[in-house]
Amino acid sequence: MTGQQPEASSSNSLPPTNPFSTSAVRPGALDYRFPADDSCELLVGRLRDHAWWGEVVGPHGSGKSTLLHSLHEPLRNAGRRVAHVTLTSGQRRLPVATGEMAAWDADTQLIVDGIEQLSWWQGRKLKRICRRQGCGLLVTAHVSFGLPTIMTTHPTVERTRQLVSELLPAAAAESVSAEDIADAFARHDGNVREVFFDLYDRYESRARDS
Amino acid sequence: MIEPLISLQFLGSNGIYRPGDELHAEYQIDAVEADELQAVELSVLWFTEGKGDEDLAVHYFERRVPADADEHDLRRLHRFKTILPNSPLSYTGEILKIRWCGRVRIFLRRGKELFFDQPFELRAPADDSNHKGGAA
Repeated sequence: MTGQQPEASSSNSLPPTNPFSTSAVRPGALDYRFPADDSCELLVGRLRDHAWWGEVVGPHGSGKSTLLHSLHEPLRNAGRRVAHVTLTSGQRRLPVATGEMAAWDADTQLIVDGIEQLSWWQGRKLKRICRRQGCGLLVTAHVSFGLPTIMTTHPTVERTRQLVSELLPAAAAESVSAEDIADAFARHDGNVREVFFDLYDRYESRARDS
Repeated sequence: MIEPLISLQFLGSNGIYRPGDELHAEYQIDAVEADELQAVELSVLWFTEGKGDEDLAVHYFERRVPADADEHDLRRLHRFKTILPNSPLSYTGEILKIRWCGRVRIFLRRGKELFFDQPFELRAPADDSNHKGGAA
């Protein structure tokens, strides 16, 4: 669960040896790249229009988790108290204590990443609890969970290139070419997480050869 | 607005240590008013880096609040020391790396936090041709 966050935080942490390391590409480390006609603020507006209930739908590795992390601050700025749950494979129940659920109220924005992990019954139960508590519910799923779809994630090669250029330090800008990115993007069917894994290996291999 | 400056320096060392060495270091904070600082935490830690899940463990930790500092000023130079453990040693593999660092984290008013990492290596005795670490 993610409770109240500091107002702001900054750091001078060690840059990763490989720019495609998990620490650099995990959700929260990278900002989601929106299409030109969309933004965090517009998305929060759409969520508000649906009484803070909505879903982000997209395939594996399309940036759903990254998008959710990018929404934390805009949601807090909109007066929402964010509670974030990430479900991993095989987690059929929401890992939240009953007492914690009882504290959810109209200002709470529950975020559940990977809602399809819940059993059908647990999914229904979660909706019922959120309705009873009056809290918001934002989920990610590969197919619709039956909430208003506020965004469908569609990675593109161009936006993936932009992300890669942000990750690469200036001194290593030539170590991954536009063709490398396009090739990895095509081979992994637009799964950006897999593209980063692929580029990690290429970067590692070239660093060792040089 | 200028961000506070955090410096952390290892003393009498080129940043390469052996298991059992004593790490001596000092840190200092600048470009911030003393009453802005709520607390300072110092950690000596290792973490993994690579393609998979990440791991981190803190070997040494201290937290100071204004009441612990001379004239309640946490910005002043502060020294600490710790004896380094036998493992894990620094490691640079293809899919996994193990890195050691000293980390100073400062807590400011209104919940703002910043931290600074200073890396060092913990090497096996056989690897330490450049060793100028602390006394064993």
